[in-house]
Amino acid sequence: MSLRLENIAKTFKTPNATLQVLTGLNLEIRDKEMWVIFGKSGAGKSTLLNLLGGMDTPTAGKVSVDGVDLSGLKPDALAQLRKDKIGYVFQAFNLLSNLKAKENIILPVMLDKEREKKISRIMQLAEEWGIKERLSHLPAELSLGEQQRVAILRALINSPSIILADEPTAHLDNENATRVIELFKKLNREQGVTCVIVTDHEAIASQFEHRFNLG
Amino acid sequence: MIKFALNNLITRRRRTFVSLAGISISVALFISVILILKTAQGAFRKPLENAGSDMIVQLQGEPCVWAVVKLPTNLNPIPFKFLGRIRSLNEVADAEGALITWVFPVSKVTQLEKPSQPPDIIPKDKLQQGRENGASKAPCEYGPPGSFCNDSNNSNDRAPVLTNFSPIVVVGVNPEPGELGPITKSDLKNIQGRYFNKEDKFAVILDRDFARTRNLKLEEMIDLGPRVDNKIIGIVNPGYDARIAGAQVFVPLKVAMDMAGRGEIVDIIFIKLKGGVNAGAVEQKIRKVLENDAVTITTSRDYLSSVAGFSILAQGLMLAIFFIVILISFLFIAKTVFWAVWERSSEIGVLKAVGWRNADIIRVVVLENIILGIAAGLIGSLIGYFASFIYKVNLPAVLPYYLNPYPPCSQYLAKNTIQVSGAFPWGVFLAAIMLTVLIQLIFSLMALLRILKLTPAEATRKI
Repeated sequence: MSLRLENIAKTFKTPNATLQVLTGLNLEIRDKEMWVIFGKSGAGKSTLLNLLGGMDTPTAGKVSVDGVDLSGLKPDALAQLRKDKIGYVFQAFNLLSNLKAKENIILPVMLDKEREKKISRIMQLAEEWGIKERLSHLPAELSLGEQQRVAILRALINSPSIILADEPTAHLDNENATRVIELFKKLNREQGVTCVIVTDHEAIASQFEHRFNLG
Repeated sequence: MIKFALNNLITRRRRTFVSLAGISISVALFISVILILKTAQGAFRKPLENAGSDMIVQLQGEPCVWAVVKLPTNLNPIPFKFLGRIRSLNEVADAEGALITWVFPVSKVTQLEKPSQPPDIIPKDKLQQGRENGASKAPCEYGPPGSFCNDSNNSNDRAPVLTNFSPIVVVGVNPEPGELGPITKSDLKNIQGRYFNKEDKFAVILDRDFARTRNLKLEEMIDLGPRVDNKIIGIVNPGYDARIAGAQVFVPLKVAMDMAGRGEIVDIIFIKLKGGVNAGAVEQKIRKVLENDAVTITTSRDYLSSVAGFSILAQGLMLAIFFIVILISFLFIAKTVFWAVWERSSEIGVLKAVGWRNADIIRVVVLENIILGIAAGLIGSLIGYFASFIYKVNLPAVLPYYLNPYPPCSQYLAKNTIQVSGAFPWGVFLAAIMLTVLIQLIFSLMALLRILKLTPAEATRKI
């Protein structure tokens, strides 16, 4: 799936000030490409990722996914797109504190009738990542690394065509960080998943072919 | 979805508890005020309902102290002709008169000379006993019979030989039973024996408890004042509820008039008003008809102060408190519900981010709030019911003395305690629960729809 940003601007208004985060930004990510968005803290990397994933709306400009202008989609259609096509990993994980790890992972398919296949596949991955024993725990009982893995597994449960990950290795040790990056590469290579990763680590950024620098 | 909603309520214990407690307290306040008001209203309406009437008319006055058969303390005779005038008022659907008397039983009637002063024939220990029995704080200053009343119409100017110092409360009633008065058709459903017929003269009907106390049975005789050959033709059981003009012995009205010896009189009038009539305006008309300032007119509103401990001022205050409580309860529920949903903005943002449709989120929140509303409504209603029950138990629901005047030296107390309805207020409960759920839904949806307008990124930022 391809992503396209045209002349994007994003402004945040606070009671005291107006913050211009992105201005006149253009970016085209083609199908099956792997991109890294690199920049220092506060440059607007997460804002850009939110716009790409239909999590937020731009103040000006156009965001398209596979040629479809997201601003023209109704809320339910946008929700369906996020569910079926986009796997999103939040920087702060955004796990629901009252749900166990497993329930957080299956949250996107919780209301689906045919979900067992997806659940068993993702549980296999959870086992490979060494957190199977931790699935019955609440997020507060997990380490940051474990929480991050749970957040990534949640993003992968629907076998998305696009993965948008906001600093997915920030809280992982080197071994697990490498494992995550390798997983994204594998998904890209074997299943043609388009990946966009936000990072401020040069070592991670240098592993990607396409790079967009912010700030 | 139900599992998810329940899980949300169970796992977010603190939030659920705070919501539940807040809403329950509001519902409890609401329910207790409604039930207390309902209880008080029920308490003071019941005796009038038992008599099938809306209004009671009596005349105040000094009693005839020394007669064998006399009108009760502070009751004066109302000429029978006034009953017809009251009936003819446009606003009055029906009116019925009765004659409450106190009758001192005697075994013989002996013609004596008029004494220069009333004989002191009530032993002091009897007086003391009457007080200890709780009959009244006052001594039996209106007995004993045996002398003369200044009233020239009084024919009881004989000194009888007393057999009992305790007078019997005898009420003269219409020999044709109706829906109005001390004894109504509904009281006759369980009558033992029969009611009066037109030919009855020295026939009496007893209150069941009086008959039991005196061990009197059908067909036996009872002495009332000068006459000893009064045949018991019926025994009625009006229950233990307070009754206006609740007699120990009922006689036909004409017989009671003869016994009192003061002509065609009644001393209490029961009035049934036509629907939608202003009772205040009718009161004015009745005062005009009776041409007497000493008229006591009682409606359910008037003796609320005596029965439920509410003065007119307190009633107004109660109503004001009622509306304030309703307003506070409503605002409290609204605020609790609104913030309970609003603080979940980030959670709802996450659900949106992972692809939940707005309709799915609305369904879950609605389900949670229905469960919460029912639970809070139920808990609050039970707490409110318990609070009102405590009030009910302590309610001084006693009929004012003048509506059921028993002599202070009566052997046993008048049935003046109003049995406040013990029926479980299902209607109020259901209404409270439904109202709670409705308020829950309205305010949770108000908060939710505001959150759903946000993008997932905006919603998740509201932590």
